[in-house]
Amino acid sequence: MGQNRNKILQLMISNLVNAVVHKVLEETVKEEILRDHYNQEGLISLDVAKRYREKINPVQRGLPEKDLEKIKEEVLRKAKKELRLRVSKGYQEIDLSLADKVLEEVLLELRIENEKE
Amino acid sequence: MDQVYLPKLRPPGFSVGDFVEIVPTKRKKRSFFTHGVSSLETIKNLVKDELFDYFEQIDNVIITGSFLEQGFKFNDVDVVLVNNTKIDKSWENYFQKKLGIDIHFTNLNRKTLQQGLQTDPLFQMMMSKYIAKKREIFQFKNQFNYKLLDLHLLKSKTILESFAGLTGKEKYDLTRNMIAIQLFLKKEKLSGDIVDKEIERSFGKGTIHKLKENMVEKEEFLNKFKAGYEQTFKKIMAGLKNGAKPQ
Repeated sequence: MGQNRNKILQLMISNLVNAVVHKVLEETVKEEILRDHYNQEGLISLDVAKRYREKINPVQRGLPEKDLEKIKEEVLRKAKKELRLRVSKGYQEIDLSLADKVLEEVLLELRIENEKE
Repeated sequence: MDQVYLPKLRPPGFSVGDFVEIVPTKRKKRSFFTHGVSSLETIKNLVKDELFDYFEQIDNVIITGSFLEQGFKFNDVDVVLVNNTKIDKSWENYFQKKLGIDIHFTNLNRKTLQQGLQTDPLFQMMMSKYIAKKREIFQFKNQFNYKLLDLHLLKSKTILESFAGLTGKEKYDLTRNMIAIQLFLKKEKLSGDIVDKEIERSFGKGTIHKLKENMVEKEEFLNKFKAGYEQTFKKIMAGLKNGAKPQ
């Protein structure tokens, strides 16, 4: 069970990385995309992350601090690595600090983190 | 308020003070323009007529997307309104109530529409089939906005991350997305059929059916997908670096 939980956590993390990178990159081209169209399609990686989230207890409230720290650390590290790769290839105007903000929003949306009172 | 005039000499039952009901007996015949659509089921024709009637005042109404594929496997109807009107949420509710289907509205002016066709493989693929209130002439060449292509391609990465966690439809959509980008970069004009043919060519005959049924053999498929994804990503990154055309 414990091993299974870790596996699901990892799967959720990789989808969160993808979602965060996507949302950060989206900011750099937001003027150029047909937003309505793509918003409707949604981000499959975020949907998949939600599905995995629903398989991790506790479902109704935020995950324990230990899991939360691990998720934050890993998602940010991997997402920033992906973004830096693009910067190194000449991609301009990527705001790396945006990744932290986006991740916070996603963690709350997926109820991985509790709302701060 | 609109008024209905009755002749002075009228049949019985139309006396002053009587309540009457006005029911259309024949729908006004409308001309329309099709592109890439050979036929449309009767019930879909009714949907089309309802939409064109409702948006009579709008410059042009373009119905596109999976609704135009044969059969009834569409989730919703994609409607592009060519105008500068703000989309009203009540429109969706109206059609949901009246026709029992979801309509997704996108409001674009002609410049944005043209830009979408030039820069967005999926939009180009979607617009390869449409029915419109009036004829639109699109003349465009594929334009490579590498940041946009990178963003679109990133969606398909989910297949590599979570193959087992995806539905058949999602796998098919994400594969289509990647292949559409590959063809777009080769300066090809896209349509659903062209992209589907390329999927079968790249991954083997019967792949589309297997993908949709979520029966595709994981290892063999992922090996080919990964190679295709990496190659496309490299091409896009090279384009970003050069700030010019892809190699």
